[in-house]
Amino acid sequence: MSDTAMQRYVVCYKWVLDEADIRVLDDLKVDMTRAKGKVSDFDRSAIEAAMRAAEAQGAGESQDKALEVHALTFGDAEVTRSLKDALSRGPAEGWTIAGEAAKTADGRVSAQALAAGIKAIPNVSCVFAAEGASDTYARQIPSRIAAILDWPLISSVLTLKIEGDELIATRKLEDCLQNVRVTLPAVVSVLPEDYEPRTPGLKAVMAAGRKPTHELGSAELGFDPNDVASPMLSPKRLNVSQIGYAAARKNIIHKGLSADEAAQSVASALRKEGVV
Amino acid sequence: MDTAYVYSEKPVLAAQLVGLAKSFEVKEVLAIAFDDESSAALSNCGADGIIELSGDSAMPENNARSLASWLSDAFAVDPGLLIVGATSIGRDLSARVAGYLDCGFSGDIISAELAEDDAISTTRSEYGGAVVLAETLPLPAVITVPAGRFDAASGAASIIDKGTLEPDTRIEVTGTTPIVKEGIDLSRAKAIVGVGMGFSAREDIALAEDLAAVIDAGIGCTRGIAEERHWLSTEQYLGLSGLTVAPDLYVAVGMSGQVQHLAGVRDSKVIVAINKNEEAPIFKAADYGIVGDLYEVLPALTAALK
Amino acid sequence: MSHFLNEDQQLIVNSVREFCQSPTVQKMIQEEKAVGGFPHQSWKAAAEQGYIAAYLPEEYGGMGYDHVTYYSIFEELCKNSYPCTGPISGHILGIKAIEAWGTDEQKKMFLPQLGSGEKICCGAATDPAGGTNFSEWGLTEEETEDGWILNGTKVITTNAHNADYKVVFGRPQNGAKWYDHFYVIPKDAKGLETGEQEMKLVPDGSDWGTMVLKDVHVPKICRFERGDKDALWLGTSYMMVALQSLVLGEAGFMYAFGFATQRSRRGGKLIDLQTVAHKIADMAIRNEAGRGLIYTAARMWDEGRKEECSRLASMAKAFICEAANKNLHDATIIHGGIGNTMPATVGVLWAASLQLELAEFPCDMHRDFVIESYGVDLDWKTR
Repeated sequence: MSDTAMQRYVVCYKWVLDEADIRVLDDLKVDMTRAKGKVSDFDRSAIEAAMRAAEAQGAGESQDKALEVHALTFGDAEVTRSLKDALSRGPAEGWTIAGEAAKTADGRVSAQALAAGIKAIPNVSCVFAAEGASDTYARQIPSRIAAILDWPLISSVLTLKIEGDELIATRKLEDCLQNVRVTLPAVVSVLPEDYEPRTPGLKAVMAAGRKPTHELGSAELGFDPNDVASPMLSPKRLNVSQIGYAAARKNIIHKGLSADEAAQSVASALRKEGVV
Repeated sequence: MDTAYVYSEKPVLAAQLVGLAKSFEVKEVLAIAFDDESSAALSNCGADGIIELSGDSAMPENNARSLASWLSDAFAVDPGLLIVGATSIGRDLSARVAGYLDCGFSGDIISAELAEDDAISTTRSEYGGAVVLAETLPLPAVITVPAGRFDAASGAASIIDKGTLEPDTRIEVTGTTPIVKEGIDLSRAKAIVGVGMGFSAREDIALAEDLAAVIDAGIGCTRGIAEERHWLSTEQYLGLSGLTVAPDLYVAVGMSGQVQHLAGVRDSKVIVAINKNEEAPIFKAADYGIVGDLYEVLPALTAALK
Repeated sequence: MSHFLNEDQQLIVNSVREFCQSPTVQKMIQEEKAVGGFPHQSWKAAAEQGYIAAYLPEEYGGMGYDHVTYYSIFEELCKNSYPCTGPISGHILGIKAIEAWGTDEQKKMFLPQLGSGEKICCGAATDPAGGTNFSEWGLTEEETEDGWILNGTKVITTNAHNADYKVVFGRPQNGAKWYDHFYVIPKDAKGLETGEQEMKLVPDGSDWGTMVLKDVHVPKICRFERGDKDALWLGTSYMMVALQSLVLGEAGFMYAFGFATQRSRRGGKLIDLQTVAHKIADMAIRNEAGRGLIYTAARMWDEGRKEECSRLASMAKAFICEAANKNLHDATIIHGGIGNTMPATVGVLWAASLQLELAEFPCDMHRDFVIESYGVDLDWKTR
């Protein structure tokens, strides 16, 4: 089977800082220096969704050459370190777009970069992504990618199935489950609920290091990921700042009183507040 | 910006978006509808006018491309803002419009203000709720707003302009199954009592129910109670990946106050916490707290509020 | 884990943690606990992931990892309270014996299935008279034309009943003062009976029991001779026990630290009392010392420095198994009266830690091995 005939599902993932390691200091400055990188939790489910959709059609990790799942990511120079982790979860090959522009990227820039990457990969019939990344959870990337490529988008996907070039999905909306159908190519963003990620066994972790990886640059993308001045890579936002969340609460805490005394005090305060 | 546009498939939310847009003191706030029925539902949303852009599609999301084209023409003359209600449909549609317009986007905002030089400044949550991101988007831009964040506007609104859209027909809806929700809709409850892992037995939730009955509250819980112990349904789980609520009163009982849970309740007007560990993070997030055994304090509070 | 893992090793350890904490595995663990008995499902799941004997070469069912990496994997399983860490430890004892003293033919016969975890084994050394009380053992081994006939009993053996292959150590021969041969006996061998299960001080439902051999016939190919090979490999088995103790020792520190920083006393915290703070600091010191011993010994093994490894392994075992008991004892006391109640886990762990002080020889014997390594001939070994 020639390489050009091989179909690919591309799953986009993000290498994020682990939110568990973030510290908010007393002056509300955010300290991320201890945070380690990880594949965003929800992206693991997106990878799982892509793998299951491919495997249901007979695609094995290395056997069947008619259909493969590939992983794609956009980040700074460090992002290539994420490949082994992502590839250990099943995809056959990994693609990175690595450059300075990632440091100041907003959703628009990330989507532009990823869409350019998808165009550079041959024979992509379906793009998988999570609804949002565990750091920003902005929920805009899959939509933007679909718009840039002008492909249909199916969002909030609970379950999906692909047969040939037909994709059938069940979406979970607030008050209903919606069944939809689309002919590929398409972009799907999945909910993590029904896609518990498989944990890579040691063989998968070992194999990850041997899978082919590609770094996409100016030649393939049409722009240099390091060129922050490039119009493709300029964010549509200014004055970005982060501050730790501080709850501005009264903090009137009773300790050492009897249960009745404390309860009376709180009850009377709540009546004064008008909330009971 | 002279004109701000709002859209939500939920009329109650659309009215809240109008309320937010009005705070920007623009010349006019226009609500977008995709058919007659939707226009009719917006007749009291307080907008200065309704734009009915009819496209024949079972999915409002399919109007994204065509809507972006329509807005592009409008924004070419007057770079403006599209405010969309943050629902599954709204998030899908809004970000696609932003993609087609290739403009800035800020989703699930906490606050929004007009900034100088035709820009909008927003804040939103990141990193599981631990961090607040502030950013300024030059217009034109798209933002989404969750339900219940802003007060609704009201007042008669009528159709001032009509147009047609060409929906994307590539996606076909083949069926719909309503989701039946049991119990009170916590997102509308004025008061909620939260059950945490400090409760030793399922039967003890009755103590929380006693309090809830007295203050007319719904029952919510932490993730562990719903997803690990299965004592309450996942619909009652309040938190980052569960429900976000903003009742007037939230009483957190027997829970430590993890960031992910607090993210779901921190917009409550008043928070009360009961926990036997005075170092528990919940007390930092509370207006009033009682350090003590919930088995003593909870019944005492119920009695005091009768 | 070692403080000096490279990126690949870190990825491996992260994948083990992810596995243990995944909802599917958590659910499986709960279900198994409810049913009780040998954790076959957890064993299979760990085997599928490749965890069981990852240090073995791939041809023997392993991943070809070094011992630093393998111990990091095993430690991560212990940290996450993965059900079959005790059974894995017992299994490894048997595997290492086969690996060290087997001929190529014998290794090919048994290692692939055992290394992959497809089959389970045990290392049965202890005679009712005492594990190293060779002259008073009841075991008899009678040579025949085509093999050996065994009669006797082995007690307190991990995996005694569930092992598919029993590695049964014979009495040292010809004046030898230490183990010098063993047999591999399949579970369905005629005359091999499983006896009672022991009830541990802290019952954990594990397989730790007796087997009785009544005229069990073992073909020649299933007898493994030490010959002029060394027994230094035992150190790498002792360290499996040491790792389990290390994790318990760290639990002791975490319980004590958590309690003392939250418990209030006269307006301050319990940990403000210097005596309490020092007790907890000592726990941390012991843990790091134990960790240092284990992973240094592991690295020595990986670099072919077997004798040094063997010495440090016994040091590790002697030190950290007692240290864990001490940490948990002090942690329980720091909890005050509550430490002595059910379900205060810290007190239960303290009692459970005794098992590891005793497993694969009590700590005093390891002190013997340490002094022996400096060229001292021990009285009880030379008599």
